[in-house]
Amino acid sequence: MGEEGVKLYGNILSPFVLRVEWALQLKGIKYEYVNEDLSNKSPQLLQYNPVHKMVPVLVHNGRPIAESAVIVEYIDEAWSDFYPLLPSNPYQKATTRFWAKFVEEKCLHGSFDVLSRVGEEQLQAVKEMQESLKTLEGHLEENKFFGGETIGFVDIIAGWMPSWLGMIEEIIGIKIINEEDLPLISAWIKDFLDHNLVKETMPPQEKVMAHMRAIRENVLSAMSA
Amino acid sequence: MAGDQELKLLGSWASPFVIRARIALNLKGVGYEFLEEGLGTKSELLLKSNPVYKQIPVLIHNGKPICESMIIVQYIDEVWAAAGPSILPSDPYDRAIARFWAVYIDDKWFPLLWKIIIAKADDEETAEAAEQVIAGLQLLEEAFEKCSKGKDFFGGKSVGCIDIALGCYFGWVKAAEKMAGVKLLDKEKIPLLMGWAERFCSADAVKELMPEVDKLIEHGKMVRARLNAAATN
Repeated sequence: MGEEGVKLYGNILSPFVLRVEWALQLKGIKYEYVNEDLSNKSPQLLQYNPVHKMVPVLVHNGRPIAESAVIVEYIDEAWSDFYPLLPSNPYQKATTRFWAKFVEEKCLHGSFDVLSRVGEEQLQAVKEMQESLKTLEGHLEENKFFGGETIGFVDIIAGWMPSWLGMIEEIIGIKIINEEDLPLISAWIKDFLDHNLVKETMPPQEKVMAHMRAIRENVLSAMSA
Repeated sequence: MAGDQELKLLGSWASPFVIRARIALNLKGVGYEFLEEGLGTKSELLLKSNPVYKQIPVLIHNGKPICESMIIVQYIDEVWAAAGPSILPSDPYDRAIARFWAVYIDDKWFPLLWKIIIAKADDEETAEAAEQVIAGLQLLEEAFEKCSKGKDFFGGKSVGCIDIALGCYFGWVKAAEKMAGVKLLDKEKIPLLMGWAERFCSADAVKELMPEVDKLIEHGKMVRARLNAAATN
């Protein structure tokens, strides 16, 4: 193919794309960002990710990688000289991967349940989300970030939560994160949103809000159809 | 590293996830104590070692627990790197491809197979799930061609990450076929995978671990009955 360099196929509404951008920027890697219109996907995207046809896709020297968490681990291994994202000790690495998976399975899916349900079922989803966050808080311990003093792999994987959960709270009119119940998660959210990289890469909140409202509308109308 | 190490694996003979961990340990020639958890019961040790999910497998290495099958497999590969063939490839790009397919297999493909296993008789969704499982196997057939590069396994000369991720499910695929009366494995459609499956099941590190399909069917029926009973309560 003869293509050199790093390209990232993405979309500003996708929190999964943001994960990859954080990883690239923490490592100081130069890349070309290709914006995808998800209602009209480019032939390149379909060629590079034929299985899922989704963003993000990282193309490094002409070779594509899909799945945000897989891409972030790839970035850590391919550019291993600077800013490690995962610990090198195998046990700590396994623990890191475990909590990243927990965030994906419990918190991400849980947040979708909160956004897409109504009434009693929604309240139940909120309660489960709070329990998941409480469990996750245990892993944070007294550290500023999950990665310690600096942002690491779990912070990157969980990094959608600070802004997205806030927006979900606003849309559904229910508070999910109470500072008294989740003091460490609340502090982490503040520190994460305060980080220069996060501030610089934050997508326009009104656009993301509109997108999330649309998701909720679509699910609710499908349910009553 | 090697030598006196306390290594326990909490698991069950029927769980494909547990089989993954055991294959990895076999590939590295590492001895361990296998503690069988009965169906429907959870030991004190399991609850203590995996308080988040309370599920098998759990590898306990010198008292420290590691959970989630593919995380355990990678851990074993890293700790006993020198002891046996590499389970994950050494090149970062090939590793990313291996991880991509492991995620696909677990997150997209297996839930469809599971649907077939636990479906009640004459469930309309079974036929659709079967079609999707077959379509997934087609994708995996193409992936096998690319990854194996003409060799015996996804991992090349020896059993690797994708082999372990997919191969552990093959007994259950056959069980699902009998339980639901659907054909999932078609030699015409997936000739490479069928050849691979035979080689995988007879590989030294694997052969004694794969349960008999009839036993899996029996076990599957019990799991299905318990799930359906719980759902109606």
